Amino acid sequence: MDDQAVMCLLDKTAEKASRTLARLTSRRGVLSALGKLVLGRAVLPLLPIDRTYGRTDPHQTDATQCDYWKYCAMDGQLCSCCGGTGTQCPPGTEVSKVSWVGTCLNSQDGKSYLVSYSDCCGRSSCGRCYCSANVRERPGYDMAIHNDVNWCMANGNASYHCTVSVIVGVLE
Amino acid sequence: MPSEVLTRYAAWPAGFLCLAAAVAFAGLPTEHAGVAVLKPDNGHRLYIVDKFPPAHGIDSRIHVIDGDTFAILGQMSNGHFGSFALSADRKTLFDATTFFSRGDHGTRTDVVEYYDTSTLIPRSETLLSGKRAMTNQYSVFLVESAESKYLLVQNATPATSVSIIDLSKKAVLSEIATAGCFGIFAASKVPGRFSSLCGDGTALTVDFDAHGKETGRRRSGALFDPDRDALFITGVKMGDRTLFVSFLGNVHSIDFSGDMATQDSPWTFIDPREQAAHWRPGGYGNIAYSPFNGQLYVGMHPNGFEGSHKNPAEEIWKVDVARHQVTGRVKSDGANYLQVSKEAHPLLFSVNVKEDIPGSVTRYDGDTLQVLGTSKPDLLEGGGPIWVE
Repeated sequence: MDDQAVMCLLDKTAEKASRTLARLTSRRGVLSALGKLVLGRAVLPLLPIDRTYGRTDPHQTDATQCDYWKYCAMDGQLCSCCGGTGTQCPPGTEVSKVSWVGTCLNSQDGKSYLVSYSDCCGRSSCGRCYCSANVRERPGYDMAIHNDVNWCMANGNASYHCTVSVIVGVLE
Repeated sequence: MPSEVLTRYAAWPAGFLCLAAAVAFAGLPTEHAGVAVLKPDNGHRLYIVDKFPPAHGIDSRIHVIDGDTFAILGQMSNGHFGSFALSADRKTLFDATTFFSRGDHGTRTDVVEYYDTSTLIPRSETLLSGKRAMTNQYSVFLVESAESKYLLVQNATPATSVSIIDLSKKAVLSEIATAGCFGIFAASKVPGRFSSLCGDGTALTVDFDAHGKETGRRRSGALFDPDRDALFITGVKMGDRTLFVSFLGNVHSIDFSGDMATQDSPWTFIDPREQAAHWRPGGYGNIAYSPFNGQLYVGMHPNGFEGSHKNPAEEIWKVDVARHQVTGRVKSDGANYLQVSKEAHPLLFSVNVKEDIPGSVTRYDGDTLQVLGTSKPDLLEGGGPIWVE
C-alpha cells in the first residue's frame, strides 16, 4: 500500500473512530477496536458486548467446519484446505495488508473475541472449503466489518486465494 | 523422412476430397464453420455473473441467457471481482474489472470494457487507476449517470472514492473521495450528481462539473441505523426515489434527486404475526421493482437472526408500494438475485442457489407470481452470488 493509501486509510479510520465514539453503546466495541487492528497491534480491550448476538455455533471447536465458533463473520475459502492452516497462508501466497473483523462468542470460556479475517493473495482461487457467516457483518458503508470485498485489494498481488482468521482481542 | 512416406502424405488431401465428394453425393450438405448471430434482445435477455465462490476467481464470466428458454446465448469476460452494468438503451454492457499480466499475479490492470450487446465484442475501453473496488456483484458499484453522460466507478483501497468517466470521450475525468461511504446512486435528472450511503446512517451527495471537478457536497440527516437495522446496499429506482429494504424488513424510500438526500417515513410490509416468525429479507441482490405495476419484489426467509441477511430466499414476496401491503408470496429454491423485465406485464426472474442447486434461473409471472419455468439446476456453475441484469 502506498503512502497515499495509508493516509487515506488512516483518515478513514479516524473518521470511523469519531463516529464510533458517538454510538459506542450500540456498536458494542467492534469499530473502536478497528483503529488498533488496522495499525497491526493486538490488543485486549475490555469493551461492552451484546451477547444476544452470535448465532453461529459457539460450541463448535472443529476448525475444519464452517460453523466453527471463530468463523462467525468468515466469508471465504479456508486456507487449511489449501496448503495453509487456520492462521497461516499457503506457501507462495502473501497475507492481505488490510482485513475485516468480527466478534465471535466462544462458549468454552464464555468470552467474545475480536477476530481479524485476512485474505491470502497472489494465486487464483483455491476453490475448496468455502464458508460464509455474517454475524454483525454490514454492507460496505461499514467497510471494516464488510466481507463482500476482496481484502487483497491493497496488495500488489491482489488476486484472492483463501482466508485465515486470527484472534486479536477479547471483549468483556 | 523416406520418400515413400512423403508420397503417402501428399496423397491424403486428394483422398479427403474424394471422400468429401462421396459424402456430399450421399445426400448430406457440406458445412462451414462460422459464428452464430445473436438473436435480438426482446427485453428478456439475462446477463448473469458466475463467479463466486471464486471457482472462476480470475476469469469470472458474464453468461448471456435467453430468459424465455434459458438457452445459453454467449459469454463475456468479467475478470477478477468485476462489476458490470447495462447502458440505459441496453446497447452497451459496461464491464469494469481487473486483469493480471500473468494470470493470477503480475501487473494489475483495471479497465472498463464497453461490450456491444449485439455482438458480445468489446468495442473500446478505458483504463482505470488501479483502485477499482474488487467486490461481489451489486448493482451500485458501476452506474450510468442521468442522460447517459457519465459512468461512475466505485473505488476502494479500502479508502473509498468514485471515478468519473466521460462516456462521450471514454476518458476518466476525475476521482472524488467519498470517505466512509459506499455505493453509487446517480441523481435521476442531474448528470453531474451522485450520492453514496455512509456508515453513520447518512447519505453523501456530491455535485461535479463537466470536467469532473467537485462543485459541492452535502451530507443528509440520519436515514437509517446501521447497527440496529442496516440497509441492504442494493436499491431499486422508483422515479426520483430509490427503494431500499432493511435487514429487518423496513422499506426506506430515499430521494437522491436533490443536492441533499431526503426520505419519507420508513414502513414495513411484514405484519406482526410474520415478524414473530422472524421473516426477514435476505440474499445478495434480492430486490426488484416494476414501475408498471407498482410492485416491489423481495427475497424472504423465516427464522431470521443477526447474520442471516445473506440467506437465500425461501419465499419471494410481492409488495404493493402504494398500499404498503404484501400482495403475493411464492416459494423459492434459494433466490439470491431478482430482476424484473421492463414491460407492462412484467416477468420476474430469480437466480437460485442451494446445496443441491449450483445455479438455476426461474421465471415468474410478475403480476401473479405463477412459476412459468425453471432452468436446469446447474445452468450456472458458480454456486454463489450471481447477478441478473
